Amino acid sequence: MRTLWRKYIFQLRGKMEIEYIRESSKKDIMLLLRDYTVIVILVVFIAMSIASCYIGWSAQHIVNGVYSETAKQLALENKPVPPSPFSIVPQLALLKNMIIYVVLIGSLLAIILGHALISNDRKNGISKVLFSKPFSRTDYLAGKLVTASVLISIILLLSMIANIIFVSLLSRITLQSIISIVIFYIISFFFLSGFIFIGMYFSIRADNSTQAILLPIIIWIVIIFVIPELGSALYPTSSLNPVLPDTNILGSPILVTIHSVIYPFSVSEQYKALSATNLGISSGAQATNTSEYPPLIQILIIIMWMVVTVAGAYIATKRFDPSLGEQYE
Amino acid sequence: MSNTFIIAQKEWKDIIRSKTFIYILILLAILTLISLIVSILVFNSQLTEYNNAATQLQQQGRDVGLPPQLYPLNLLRGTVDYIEIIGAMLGILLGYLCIAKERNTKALKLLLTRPITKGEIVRGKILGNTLFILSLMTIMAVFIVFLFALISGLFLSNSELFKIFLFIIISTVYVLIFFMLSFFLSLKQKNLTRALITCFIIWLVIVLILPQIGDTMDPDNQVPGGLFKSMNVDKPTEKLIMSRFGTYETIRNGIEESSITKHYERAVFAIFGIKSIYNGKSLSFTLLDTISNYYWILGFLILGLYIDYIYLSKTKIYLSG
Amino acid sequence: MADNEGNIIIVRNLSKRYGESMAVSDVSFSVKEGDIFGFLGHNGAGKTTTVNMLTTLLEPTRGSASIAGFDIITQPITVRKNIGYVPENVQLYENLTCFENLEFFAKISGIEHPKVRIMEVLRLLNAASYANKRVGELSKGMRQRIGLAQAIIHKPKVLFLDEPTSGLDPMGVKELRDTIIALNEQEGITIFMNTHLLSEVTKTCKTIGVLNHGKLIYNDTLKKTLNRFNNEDSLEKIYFSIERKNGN
Repeated sequence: MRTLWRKYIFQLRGKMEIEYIRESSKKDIMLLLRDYTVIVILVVFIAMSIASCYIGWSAQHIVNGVYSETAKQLALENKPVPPSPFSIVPQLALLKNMIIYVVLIGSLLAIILGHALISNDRKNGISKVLFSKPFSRTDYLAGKLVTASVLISIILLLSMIANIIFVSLLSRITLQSIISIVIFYIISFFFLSGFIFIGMYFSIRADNSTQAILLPIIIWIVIIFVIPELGSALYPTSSLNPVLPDTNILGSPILVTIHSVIYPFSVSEQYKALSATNLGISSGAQATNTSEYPPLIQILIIIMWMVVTVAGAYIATKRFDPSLGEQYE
Repeated sequence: MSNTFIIAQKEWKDIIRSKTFIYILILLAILTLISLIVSILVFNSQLTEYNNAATQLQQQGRDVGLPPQLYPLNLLRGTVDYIEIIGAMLGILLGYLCIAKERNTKALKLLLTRPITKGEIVRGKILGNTLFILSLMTIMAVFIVFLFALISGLFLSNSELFKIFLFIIISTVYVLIFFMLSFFLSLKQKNLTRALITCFIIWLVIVLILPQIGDTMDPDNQVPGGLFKSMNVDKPTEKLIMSRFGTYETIRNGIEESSITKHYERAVFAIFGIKSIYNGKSLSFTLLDTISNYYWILGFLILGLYIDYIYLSKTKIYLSG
Repeated sequence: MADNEGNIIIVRNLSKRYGESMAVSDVSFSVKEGDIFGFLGHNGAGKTTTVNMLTTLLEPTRGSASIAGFDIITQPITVRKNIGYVPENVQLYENLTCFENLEFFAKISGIEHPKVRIMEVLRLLNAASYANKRVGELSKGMRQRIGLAQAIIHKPKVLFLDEPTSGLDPMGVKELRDTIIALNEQEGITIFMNTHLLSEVTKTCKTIGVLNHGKLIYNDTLKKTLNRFNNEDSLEKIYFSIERKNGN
């Protein structure tokens, strides 16, 4: 399999290009390790995993306490005691915060990662030197894509291991739930890749570093807050909560129309819904009283999101003018 | 003092003429517009639903409850949310950018060769940015008032206008606190990128994570449809049971209280009556009832001012390179 | 790789338009293999734009050029294998050491085991003791030298230098001059140098070209130039008389 893949790649691109991709990835990873960008992102991700497990666990713990108190109280009043709510709490409910953290924090960090991947090449007149070397623009982008994938995979992998460990410590874990967690992280990989490409796109296109940071953050705000508000009438802070409030939009034909137009493009809502279904946690769709897409369509939307952002980064790379290297501080 | 004003004036001109200003203004305008329109549509939807239900109930000869009442300022919930999240980020970006651009062009080094002190530069920059934030919030408020009149033909009463005025002041202070944080870090950290990442992480924790932990840790939120509802427990029993978990509830509340964002939210939600218990209450009652939030906001402001005005002018800072 | 007449750089009607203004207009000239070519002109004359096109960073609006027999438009990658470029004030990656920087640039230029070559180049540039220092910690002159090192690491046929002496102290200028001459004589590299420092040209170059408002107004060997204007006593006067002739 490995040799087949290698053969294919070698036929597609020469030995020289493979060498370039390897060297540029090595260099980028070294640079990002030295200015601590990768370390910070990794630490935040692992902290997110631990925090989400701990918060989920402590809340469930208290639910247990509340239940036994309630049971006592109801017994005193000679009322029937209902079954333990744990029978209705989904097994991986511990992780419901993790979905929100990936949507909010992960996506922002992914943008910063994308920015960091490019910005080093645009300082100190380096772009002029770099692009006078024998490789093509496609090789350049391929090198960045490989670096981005390697870094985000390592970060997600370690975060996933932390998650599995903490879930098994604080709750019970089965093979089924491990598979669900793995799938959740694969979905997250696609979702976050799109944000890396957006960070890259603006770092390649922007004239100066202010725009290179400000513009992708504006896009981030639009994707994470504005589109869900416009499409599902969610208040911006409501999109932070795993438990969604009841905002019925069905009474307003205008809102329903906007929803049907925008919802397919609301990648953060698709990601949330898909991940929630996968982890067996109830999602927000019931709260907005609208129907969700089937998982296959949701996956397709998230993959489309990645393809479109990669295409954007590709166009930006093709159009990049290295002779203007000095404009970027 | 005049040097401070000269710097402030230069800072002001710098921001106003940059593309950054245009982007931020357009963004805030669009966000306000969207959230107001969506809120109005949601309200209309509720009204339609009520009317439908009312007709049905009347046909059955049953009692009809009160229709949902429109408190115009309630419609600003989305806008307040945006200031909570994006206003804070705006403050961070302003603080970072006003140092980054100087460090890149080394213009500040040049400034220091003039008869001007470090303190004056720092104060001038804070003053310039404060004025900018204040005017941004004012423009936004005027835009809101204008939108109310335009979209729904609502003209705000004097007391509502006064509430909007309070909103401008509190929001400016809120954004300013984040500005002072990133201003401080950008001057104290040698590596600017690291300063910005640190700011973002602090922003995530204060604005998004701490307030969200409170909601997530609420036991009632743990079971779909509500824990107590699922066990058929009525309100008084719920209160009785929860009173036995005092410590847990204190910690939960404490986590929320440590975030300035929560205080900002509570203060403004009370003024605008978004928290429904304050609807129809007098302003003085509302302000007194939420006074602790104002103490917190003021405390953060004083802390920020102390660090930026006094501490920075005494210690080593990175103005260039 | 040079043509029958020994030309390694051949430029034909090269033009670059930015909106309404012509940055470079119908420039044609050639540079012989083994030459040190001084490209003169005041700030904004179009020198850097020309070099950007020759180094394949910028696509010409019109015209063409070839380097070592390869067309800059149709064979950019092969052209890049044959050239080295040192932009003005280049500094490379600050967080990598000199060695790591050079290793990266050597490997992406196709050198598989560059260690020996890197040390050779660093010794040639008197920078061997800085190999393990991060570029961010170096002085300006030293950064310039590392910038030069990346351009010659793969033994290019042509080396492009954009205002190489900008920001250097007199000692640095002299060292750089010696290095350029050594590279030309020992490694046989053809040198194409953008500059507005006339004193440097007299000491280093063999041929000169003068660019004014995007147009090439003069092109000849330094020797002939000095002979032709023998009534003038310095290149500065020659330069101004050339510019005057062209109605400036």
